[in-house]
Amino acid sequence: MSTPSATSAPLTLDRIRSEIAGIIHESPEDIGLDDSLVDWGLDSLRLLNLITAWNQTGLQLDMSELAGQLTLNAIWKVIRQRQAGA
Amino acid sequence: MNERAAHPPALAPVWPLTEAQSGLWYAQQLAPDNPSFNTAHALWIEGELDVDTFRAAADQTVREAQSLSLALRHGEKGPEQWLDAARTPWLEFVDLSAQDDPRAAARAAMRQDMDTPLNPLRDALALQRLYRLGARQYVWYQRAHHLANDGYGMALWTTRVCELYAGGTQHAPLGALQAVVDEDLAYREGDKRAKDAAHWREAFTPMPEVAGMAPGRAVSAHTCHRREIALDADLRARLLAFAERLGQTWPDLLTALTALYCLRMAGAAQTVLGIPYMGRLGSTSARATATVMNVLPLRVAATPDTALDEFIRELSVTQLRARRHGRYRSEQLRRDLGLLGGQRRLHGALINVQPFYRPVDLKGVRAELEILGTGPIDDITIGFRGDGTQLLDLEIEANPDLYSAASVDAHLARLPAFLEAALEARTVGDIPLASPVEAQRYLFEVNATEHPVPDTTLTALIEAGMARDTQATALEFEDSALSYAELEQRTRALAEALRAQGVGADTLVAVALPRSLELLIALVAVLRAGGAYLPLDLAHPPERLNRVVGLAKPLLALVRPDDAGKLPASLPTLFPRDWPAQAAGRTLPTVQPQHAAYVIYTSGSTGEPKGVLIEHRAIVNRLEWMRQFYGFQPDERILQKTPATFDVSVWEFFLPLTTGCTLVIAPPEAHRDPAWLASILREQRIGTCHFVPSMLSAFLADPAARGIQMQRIFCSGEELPASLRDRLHATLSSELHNLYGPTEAAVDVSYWEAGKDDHAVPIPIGYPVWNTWLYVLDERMRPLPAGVVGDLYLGGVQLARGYLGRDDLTAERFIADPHRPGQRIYKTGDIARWREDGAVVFLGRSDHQVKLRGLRIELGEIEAAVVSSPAVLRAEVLVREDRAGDKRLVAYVQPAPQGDGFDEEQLRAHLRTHVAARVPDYMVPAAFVELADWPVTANGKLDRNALPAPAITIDAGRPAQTDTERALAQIYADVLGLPGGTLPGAEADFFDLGGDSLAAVDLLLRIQERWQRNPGLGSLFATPTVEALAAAIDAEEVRFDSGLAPLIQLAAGDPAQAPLFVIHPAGGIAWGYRHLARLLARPAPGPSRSVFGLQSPALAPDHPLPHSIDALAEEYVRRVLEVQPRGPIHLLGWSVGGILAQAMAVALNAQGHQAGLVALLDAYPADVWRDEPEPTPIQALRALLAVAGYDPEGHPELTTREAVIGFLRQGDSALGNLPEAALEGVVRVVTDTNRLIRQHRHQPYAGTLLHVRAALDHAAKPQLRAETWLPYAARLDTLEIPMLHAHMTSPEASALIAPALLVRL
Repeated sequence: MSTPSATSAPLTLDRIRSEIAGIIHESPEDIGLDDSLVDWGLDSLRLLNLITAWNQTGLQLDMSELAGQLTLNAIWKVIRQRQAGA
Repeated sequence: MNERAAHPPALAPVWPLTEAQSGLWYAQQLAPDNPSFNTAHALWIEGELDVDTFRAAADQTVREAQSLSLALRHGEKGPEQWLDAARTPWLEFVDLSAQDDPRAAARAAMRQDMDTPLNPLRDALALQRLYRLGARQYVWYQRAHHLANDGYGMALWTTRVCELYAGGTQHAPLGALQAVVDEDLAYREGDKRAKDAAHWREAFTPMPEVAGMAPGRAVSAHTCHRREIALDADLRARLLAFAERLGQTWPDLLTALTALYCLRMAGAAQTVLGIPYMGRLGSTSARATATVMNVLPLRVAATPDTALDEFIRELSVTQLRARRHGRYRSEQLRRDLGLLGGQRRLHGALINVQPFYRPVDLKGVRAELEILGTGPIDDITIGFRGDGTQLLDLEIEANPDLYSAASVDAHLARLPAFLEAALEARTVGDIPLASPVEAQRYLFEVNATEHPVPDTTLTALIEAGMARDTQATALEFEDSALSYAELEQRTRALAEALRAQGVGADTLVAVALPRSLELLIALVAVLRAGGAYLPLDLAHPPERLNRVVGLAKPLLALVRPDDAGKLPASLPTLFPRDWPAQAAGRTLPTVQPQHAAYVIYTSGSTGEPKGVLIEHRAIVNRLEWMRQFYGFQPDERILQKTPATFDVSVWEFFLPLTTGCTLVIAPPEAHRDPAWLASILREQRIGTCHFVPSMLSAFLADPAARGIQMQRIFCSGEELPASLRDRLHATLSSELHNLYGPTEAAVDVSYWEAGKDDHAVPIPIGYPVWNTWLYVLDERMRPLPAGVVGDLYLGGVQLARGYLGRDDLTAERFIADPHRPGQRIYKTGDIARWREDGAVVFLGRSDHQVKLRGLRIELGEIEAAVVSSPAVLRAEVLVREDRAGDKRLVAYVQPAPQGDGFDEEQLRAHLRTHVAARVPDYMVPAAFVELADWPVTANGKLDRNALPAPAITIDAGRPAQTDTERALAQIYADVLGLPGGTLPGAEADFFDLGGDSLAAVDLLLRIQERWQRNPGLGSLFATPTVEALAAAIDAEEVRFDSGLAPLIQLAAGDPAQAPLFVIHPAGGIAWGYRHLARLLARPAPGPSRSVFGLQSPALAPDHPLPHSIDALAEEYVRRVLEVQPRGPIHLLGWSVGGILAQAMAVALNAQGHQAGLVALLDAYPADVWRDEPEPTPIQALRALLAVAGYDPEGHPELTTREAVIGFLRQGDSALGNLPEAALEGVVRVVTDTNRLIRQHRHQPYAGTLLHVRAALDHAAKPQLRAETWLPYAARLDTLEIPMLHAHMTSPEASALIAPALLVRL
């Protein structure tokens, strides 16, 4: 699958947005920050692959932290908290 | 379903069922005894399990897993649920260690629980037990009804217990059910649902055909086959790498390849599969047990040239789009697409990839999970469980009604090989379907037929046979006979004469003699002279005889002087009177095995006859196989009755002579006369003879065939239907053998014993004979696995040399064998499939290959469905194209002699429903044509070209005669758009001609125009023929619309069964019940019922309603008793009709009559309405919309009488097309009945009321529920169907209601 580029630079909202868009064959600007990503067709395995790639930036994200509410804002909030805490 | 309802405690929240649950609820309601809704796991444990800790973990888990404690009841707005602590499945401990075989005991206990259907209204839905099997051995059994949990939830349950057992505190408890309910409600009420609905409707309109991998109807059975294997590490790694290379996830790759596998196995260009959608991601249900899972339909299409990577990518995108609308329930989609109640399904196989599956880890012990059941399996579910890298199990669950255990095992072995091959494929067609093991099996193992046969000639075999016992009788014909010595002399003498004429190796001698001693002498003499014989049938048209002689160029003809004129004058002749009787003693030539023995001309597809040249070696193999295989002995008597131009005659002629038997030659025309044949078989003590199945069928139908005893009957030349085999064994006593072979391969190449104990359906053509191989190949000449349809090829010693003088044709059909280098194979042009036991099933000619709407159709399957009716003796189904582009399936049926008392029309109607219950709808013939006799060809085969076009139903009966009949026939033709100039006959049935209820209204309007009178829909339903309808029109009493008569017959059923009386709803008209009536009058199983409709007397002008409902009910009871003077009187009413039905039941009892079934379709007692504000006249009128089948809520704009009537007039409903006076009557009845209802006081009825509730309705009127009848009935039987009130008499609702009524009638 189109594995997101593994890079250790800190994550940005733009990066997670464009990587998610790539995975669901859409343009980043079409995905609203509060859109349900499930309603865009995102599935668990693709989400897991994204998390694995994002964790290479030094985060310790767990699938269960993100799976409950799946919007860009919700994901970004968790990542930001983690980045601040790290 | 007479339940003592449980009640929730006062403070417990009571929820409606979620949409996901509703689908399962209705499915279980319709199949209350089906236990497959039980889902269960068994965890086999080995080690030092701490039972107390385990119990604590298990009990804590079910405390958290709330759905496992659900209780259900019928509520005000439909089924409801709440949490009932009394139903929480606390861990039960059962010690089985003292049993002889504790493991088996545990298995049996679990099996028993799994096989017990739960009643969701009464039983706890979940259960868990820990069985102790021994010191260190346990099995933990978890079971939940699918209403309480799905597969994802079952895994949560297992995992949570393991977490708690390990003492884990880092994990959150399981989620509460309230959130799942809330989420469901939010979706149901939100905008997303409407968008999802639109997406699916658009994507699946028109609905593609669903091609399955196994023939038959996919209806969930009570059990299922379940098998699994682990995919090996190398394959896993290569699949993952392949996915990576394509930029796809591996679950999408597996789904795509498995979808392709299903498509290829179905032999279709397109199908629809189902993909389970867990629905847990991004949801509060991610950690809650519940049933949430949905199934998304996935349309799959590919041609052999489609690039494989492109196919995978496209399917991945399709799945992405499907997930975007994944919450829309498939049950709802079925309703949207009109797939309820009928045969058509939304999808075939399910493909379920579960990438998050992990082996169960129970601390400190070894634990192995076994999945015992995942819910009902309609067709087949192909699942992959595991993370891909460590583990990937392939798991198949299949409906045993469609798949044998062996075929499931075969899928389990074949699919991994298919995946393996896909890794190397560029296009979809590159992947072979058979696994390497299967290729080996179906090319070689089933064809291991090598058997020593002497390298000799037919001539030598006959000469040896003649020398065996020279005084034995060789031939008998009528009153004459020849001994073997005489035969030897006569044939030697003629052979010498033929030698003198120049006959030698590979020269042809035409033999144009009727069955006689001379015929046999001629054939043997030609062979002894070293030549090959060319049989000519003098009954053939002279052009054909000329053509064959011109092509074959025989040296001379052996023919009687009287017949010589039928042959070309240029052909030299040798008449029997000129044959020498005594041999001169000249040496006859030594014939070689590679010399020609005979040439038989067959009809080519172009009409040009093709001469098949068979060498001695080929026919020697065939005869020696038959003689030894069936153990023929010299003292046997064999009948010769097949014309010499049909190659079956070859063994009839020569098998007796090579064995030393007596050949009994049937008189020339006897082979077509069953009674004559029977007397020959008896009087001549025949032990063995041959029948073409068509002739066998006619023979068995003759009383003279009863009780005949023979040793062997051989069938070939046509498909042998299983029903014919069964008839044979019921009629006479003989072995029955089914043989198959084209002329191009020395008579027969395969055999099957269709004995008394054979129950194969269809009957295979069987196994290859000695030194012969059969291939079923795909278009790339690759072998196909069992069950898949392909082209049939033959190879081996029996193949013909080729077509005489047609090297081009020979090269085209006799080709190099790609699997046995140096050999040839013959392309039969037949299609076939292997059975798993290595027998071949013949499926017809490939050039007549039947495809309708892109699906391959097995005509034999339809024929089997037709003849499974006891009313049918024989059936043939074929596709006709009587009008260009208009392909129709037509069934020809010969009724059983004892019959079922059906007339022709009833038989057709019976067969239509009978067949529809057994095959998918696209396989139900469009026409059924009744035949008394079957047209046959000269060879006794069914002459398909001579079968009448189904237009026979158009001109059924005598031609229309009276003025009224002729005019009416013309109106039928116009309304139905019959082909120009065709006029239906007097007995033509309007509905069988293709009329539907829409056309019926049109018909009645035209009748109204033409005659100013209208026999009414009622008459049309009861008597839909031209003759009967014309009589009704001509009858004096038809002044007013008799379709509005107070009592009409809606459908005619078995007069011996008590009919059902249906009572009109608000509008006073009972036609609405016509769908239900037709289903009851023509049910698949069980006796049929007549249905009568009671209509309001006030429909007629100047006929006021009686003053009360009770008075009306008494009037109706009088009418009913006129038709059915004695009980039980069965009643059914929808809406207002239900109130009347209950009142009639009371009145019947009061008069000392017995009411039978009293069914109320979504009707509620008058009390419910009394407290409501009186409806305005316009509100009452709006009720008419419901009567006409519209949802009144959907048309708020219709607020005046004119608007309502105008709307109805524009629409297609029968109501809207009523004559003016009649519609006035309806309007009057609606208003008046309404008034009476409000004044009505119900009396209690001392019997059972069946209440059928429209479960999709009444959101705004929760008081409308079955229990409202409790004060007025001794007992209440309740049923719910997923319909709106307005649709309770629709075809879909009727399909659900009719079976429920039939079991209660």
